[in-house]
Amino acid sequence: MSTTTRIADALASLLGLPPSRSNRPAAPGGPTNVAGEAMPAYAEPDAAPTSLLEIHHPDGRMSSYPPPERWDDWVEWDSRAWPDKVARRYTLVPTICFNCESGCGLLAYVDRTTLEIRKFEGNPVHPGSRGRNCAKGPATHNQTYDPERILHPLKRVGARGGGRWKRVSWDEALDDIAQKMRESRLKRRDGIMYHVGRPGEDHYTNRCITAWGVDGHNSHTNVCSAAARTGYYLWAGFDRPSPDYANASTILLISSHLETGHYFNPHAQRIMEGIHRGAQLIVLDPRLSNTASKASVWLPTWPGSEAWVLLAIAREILAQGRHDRAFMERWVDWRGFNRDARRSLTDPEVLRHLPPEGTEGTFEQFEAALIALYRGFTFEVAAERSGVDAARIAEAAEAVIRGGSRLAAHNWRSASIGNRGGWQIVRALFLLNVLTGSVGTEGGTSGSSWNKFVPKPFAQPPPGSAWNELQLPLEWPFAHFEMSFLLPHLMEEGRGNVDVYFTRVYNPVWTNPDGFMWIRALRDESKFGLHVALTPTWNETAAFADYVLPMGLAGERHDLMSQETHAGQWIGFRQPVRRVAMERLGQRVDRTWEANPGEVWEENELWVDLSWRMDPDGSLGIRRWFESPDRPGEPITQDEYWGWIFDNSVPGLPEAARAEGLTPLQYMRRYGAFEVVRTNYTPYERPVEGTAGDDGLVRDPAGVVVGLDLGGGVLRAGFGTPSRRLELLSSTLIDWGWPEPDHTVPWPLQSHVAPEHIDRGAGQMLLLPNFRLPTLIHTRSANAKWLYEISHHNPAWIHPSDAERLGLGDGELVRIETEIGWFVDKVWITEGIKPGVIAVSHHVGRWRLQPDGGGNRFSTAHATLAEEGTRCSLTLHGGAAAYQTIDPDTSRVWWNNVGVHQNLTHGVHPDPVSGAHCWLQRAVNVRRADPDDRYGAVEVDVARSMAVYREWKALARSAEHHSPDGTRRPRWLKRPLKPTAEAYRLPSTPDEGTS
Amino acid sequence: MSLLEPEVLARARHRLYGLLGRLLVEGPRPEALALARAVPTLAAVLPPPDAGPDVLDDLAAAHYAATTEVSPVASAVLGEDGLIGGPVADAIRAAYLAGGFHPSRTDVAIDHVGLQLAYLAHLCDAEAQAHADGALDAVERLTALQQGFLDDPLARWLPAWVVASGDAGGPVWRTVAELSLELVASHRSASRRSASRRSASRRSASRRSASRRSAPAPDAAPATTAGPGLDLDDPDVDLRSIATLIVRPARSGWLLSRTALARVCAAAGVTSGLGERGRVLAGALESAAALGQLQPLVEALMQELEAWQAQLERLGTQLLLPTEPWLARARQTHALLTTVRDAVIQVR
Repeated sequence: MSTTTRIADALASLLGLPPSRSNRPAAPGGPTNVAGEAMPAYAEPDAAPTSLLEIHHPDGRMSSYPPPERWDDWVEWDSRAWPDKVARRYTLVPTICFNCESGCGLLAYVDRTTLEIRKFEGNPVHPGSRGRNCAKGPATHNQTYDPERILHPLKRVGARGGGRWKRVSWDEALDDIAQKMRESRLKRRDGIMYHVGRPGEDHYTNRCITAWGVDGHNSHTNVCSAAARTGYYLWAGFDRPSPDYANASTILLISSHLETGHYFNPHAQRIMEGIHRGAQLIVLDPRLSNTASKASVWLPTWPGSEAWVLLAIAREILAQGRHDRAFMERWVDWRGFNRDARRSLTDPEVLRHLPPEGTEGTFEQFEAALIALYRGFTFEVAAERSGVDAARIAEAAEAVIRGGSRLAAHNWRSASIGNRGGWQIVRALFLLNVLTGSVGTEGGTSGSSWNKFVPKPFAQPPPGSAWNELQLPLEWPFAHFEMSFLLPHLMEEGRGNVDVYFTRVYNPVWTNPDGFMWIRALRDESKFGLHVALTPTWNETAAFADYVLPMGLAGERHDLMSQETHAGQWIGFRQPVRRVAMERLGQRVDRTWEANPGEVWEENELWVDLSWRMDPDGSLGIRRWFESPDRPGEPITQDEYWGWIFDNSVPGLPEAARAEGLTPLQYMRRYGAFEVVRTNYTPYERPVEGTAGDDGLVRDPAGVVVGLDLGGGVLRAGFGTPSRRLELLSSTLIDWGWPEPDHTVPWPLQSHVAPEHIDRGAGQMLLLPNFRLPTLIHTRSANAKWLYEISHHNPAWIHPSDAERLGLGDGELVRIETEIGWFVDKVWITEGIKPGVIAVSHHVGRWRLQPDGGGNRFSTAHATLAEEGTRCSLTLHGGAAAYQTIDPDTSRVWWNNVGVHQNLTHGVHPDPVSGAHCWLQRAVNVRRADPDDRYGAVEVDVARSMAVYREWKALARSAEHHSPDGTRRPRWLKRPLKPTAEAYRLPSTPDEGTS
Repeated sequence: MSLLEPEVLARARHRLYGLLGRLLVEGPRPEALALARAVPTLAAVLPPPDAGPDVLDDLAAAHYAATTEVSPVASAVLGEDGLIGGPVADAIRAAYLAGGFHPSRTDVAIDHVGLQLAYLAHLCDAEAQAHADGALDAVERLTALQQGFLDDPLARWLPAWVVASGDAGGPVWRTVAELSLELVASHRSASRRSASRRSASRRSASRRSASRRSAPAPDAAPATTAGPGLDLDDPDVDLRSIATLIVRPARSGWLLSRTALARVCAAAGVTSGLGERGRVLAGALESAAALGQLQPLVEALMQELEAWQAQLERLGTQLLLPTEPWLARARQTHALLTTVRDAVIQVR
């Protein structure tokens, strides 16, 4: 600001005169669309700001925000122009954040003249996030206007991975890809694969894949939450917990879970509410995480020993007789336990309480057996195994007992996904909910599906008849879900290939373990015929694609989302906010890319066009699923698709819309969210109608099991297990070849990184590589400078005693050797990590292969890949630096260190039951780096990669040898897209089922 | 209502001068802070209205630091001896009397910067009233008084004081000082432009009359400060004499702040001590000589002086203020220090 302006404003201010206009930006005259190419400008209307609504809710909702009735035309002062008072006139368009899977609501402030997005704030009417966001939500603006974002479809020039691209039209790209999809579909049903990171939506793409008639859904779940899902599913038939934190008396969290990492916002705000109301927070974590630092009881357990602590708490509950007998008698499948326990358990002290074989026995017999079963889990034993003081465990036990039916407990990743047998940690955790009767109660722990609402579309294609062995191979019949991280290893064994491979906002080269195996496979066109990367930003995997297709961010696409944020149900509607704003202002938009920056598109419209071209004459039976329900023979529009769903599939929405004189679609476009159910406690007690059979199950007229008979004509919904009750003893595991007692009931399984496997005297340590940062999310946040300014490197946390033993000082280079290679990092000496554990965070350590492209220069390091036989290496050339672009912020990059890519050095560890990659690594040697070692250097021997893969594969028990009924896997277990019953049949020849 | 209207502009100046003067004299009093928050530039640095007593205490302490870093009194800067009072203060008192201003405060020097701004507030208030009354003669007389006082003493000493104050008072008091100087500079420029227009108008009306009653030339510099007048060949001139010269701004062209003085001592590895700046500098020079550190100390002084010159020159250019007399003196002082430094090197 000039001196003249400053003085003029100062003089004017004391007389209450308006400020000078000399420093105001020029007002553009009409719509612009500059994202990715210039910084946006905003108009200066002749209008007065509107006051925020001030309303105080009794719960945790926001109290001050723009009143929704003014969202269409909202005027406020421009904070960037401060201290000048410059008015801006916006239309506020709600959408849903795309940076993690929490589905928080955003409100885009779209300039009514220029149509540029000024900012993203929280959507106050969103029931899950309640107007609040973490740093990643507002950073969407930074990503939208990223000067290096991909704005147009790109096609590879030269060899795959060579880094040369040309711009092509959408038509050219769609025609080529659709033709290859058609060719594949004509010859096989497993040649098209859609590999998704986080879907960020609940059904749309799955419906498309089903319509294509292929078994092609591949997810990232087995490097994420598969182990926890397995544990919960075996117990209760739901695969994630949904704790009611805000109303809890005791909150019990394991390791670096979503409350500490990148999914934290909706849960963290409710944990804070719970704590403010007096809840006690117990955290098990070897690392002093953000959440652990807020705990009233922090138990820094040795990784993998958590089940010992949890079962010690369970034993104490039983010993004190504080278990909820009424709940357990009603809902635990104690009859199944009494019936099948002898097929698994061998402890005579337990067996002596069981009823005679062939009799149902009594609850009291079950109760006595249960007390005997866990009698050995004393605090002292748990303390010895976990390395935590027995008194602290006792303190946690008292808190759990005090919490009673208000015990909110959660584990999703970390300990469960870290350890071999991690799914049993979750089984042990949920045992505490079962014992305290805190299942689905107020303040207790619900199932995810109870608190998530997924509406049905207008027509659903029938289930497919194929089975893709590259996704769900026979060795892991309990895998939850696809064995996605083994894809290159399975291909290396010659077990198949893929014709058309879509990676969708997914970066397996960088995110998955053993990335060099991915690089080698992706380069091989006999393995991946065509690789199409659908991504908003450059990533390491897109570098090895044939097409890079620019996809929209949170404000550039349609999606419907729901998430189990609390004990209610809601839906959130992600929208292309510029398109909505243009339509509000009377402009017509046919395709979302017309409103988005450059030619950035959304998958929903892309899938319609691609499927249409794949089956132009309808002969494959695909096209009809993409036709408008109202205009036969014409492609469906997004308005039609979502309009039908909101009209027909969301209870209460049409009535709510009608009350405001809106159609349901207009309602969702205006508010962006709808609360379907305020609270949904104990839904398993829901009465059902049907016929009770001799097996105690209730079936509807179509023969589908809908509940169970509790006796006396009381028919209830129950749980999603075969018995419709909570299955303490898993008969399914016994049936499928896992009868060992440490598998069938909640029990500690020895982790691959148990203390006896780590020879600390020989320089070995436990590498904890999977803790998360709250401000970044894998690949997706890589083009947000604002977020990288907050966190950009991942030093190795090491305890002072270990640092002293290794002779390492703070900031010095350390070489960490794994089973397949090594990497070099800097050490950070801290008491916040357990001795013997070395911890390196995920999310950072990004690299690019071109000096000036292939990744944002503030978040990636220029790198060189090299191969010599089976030895592969990555060498970094510097790090981030300031540079000039249209965005002045890039010239303010002050950090250099962007971290180390450790995942390349992780061998694959498929858990023999859950199939989850067990992330924790045995660091076979940790030592001061060699004089020639450079920061960030990585070397791997992929021959060792395959050896480690085979070692772990040998632990699995294939359906081929253990299936009790000639099927590939238990049909009641979850799959994202379940094929027909016929497809579950074991193949009679190795190739059957793949064509 | 617009600042283009003379009455409104005069009223706005009255309020802003009054506010700034009050802040500089009184420090962070609640009433003045409440007013200050309406000024965007000040609001940007002030603590929020609900700030606790600790924050206000910190602000008061910063005010004290700002007003002790270098004295906020014209006579200490412009006076031959660098002391408070004397002819400079007397001239300012006379100006007040001529403008009908009778400051009630006796706890600060008559030529304190805050009182000088209060005097301008008084003149602007009277000007606004004269505009309202349509008393054009009174307006002319009052604007002439303003212009005279802006030229001398304010434009002569305020730039030096603002530069020397530096960051001693933190962002709040630095902003208050800078805003005061900017207000004086803009008012002075506007006043000179308007005087020039009036003069031209009169010339066209009556060449003879205009020649008799011509206003001072707009570019005429205020009276220059006295020169160093120090003969290094004089056997009575010693390090103490040099120190005395340096801490008299009117002679050295340099207003050496306490912070700058501490930096100089630190650079030479000698203790800066406490007390009057002349004594501290003399002590430092003598200690440095005894320790064989005179050369680095003199060079540190030269560096500080160069920084001072650069800042003052930039400010003068930016705000069209007459800083050249200061810079001329400063160049002589720099030459003097160069001679001392060279002599030290020769001796070694």
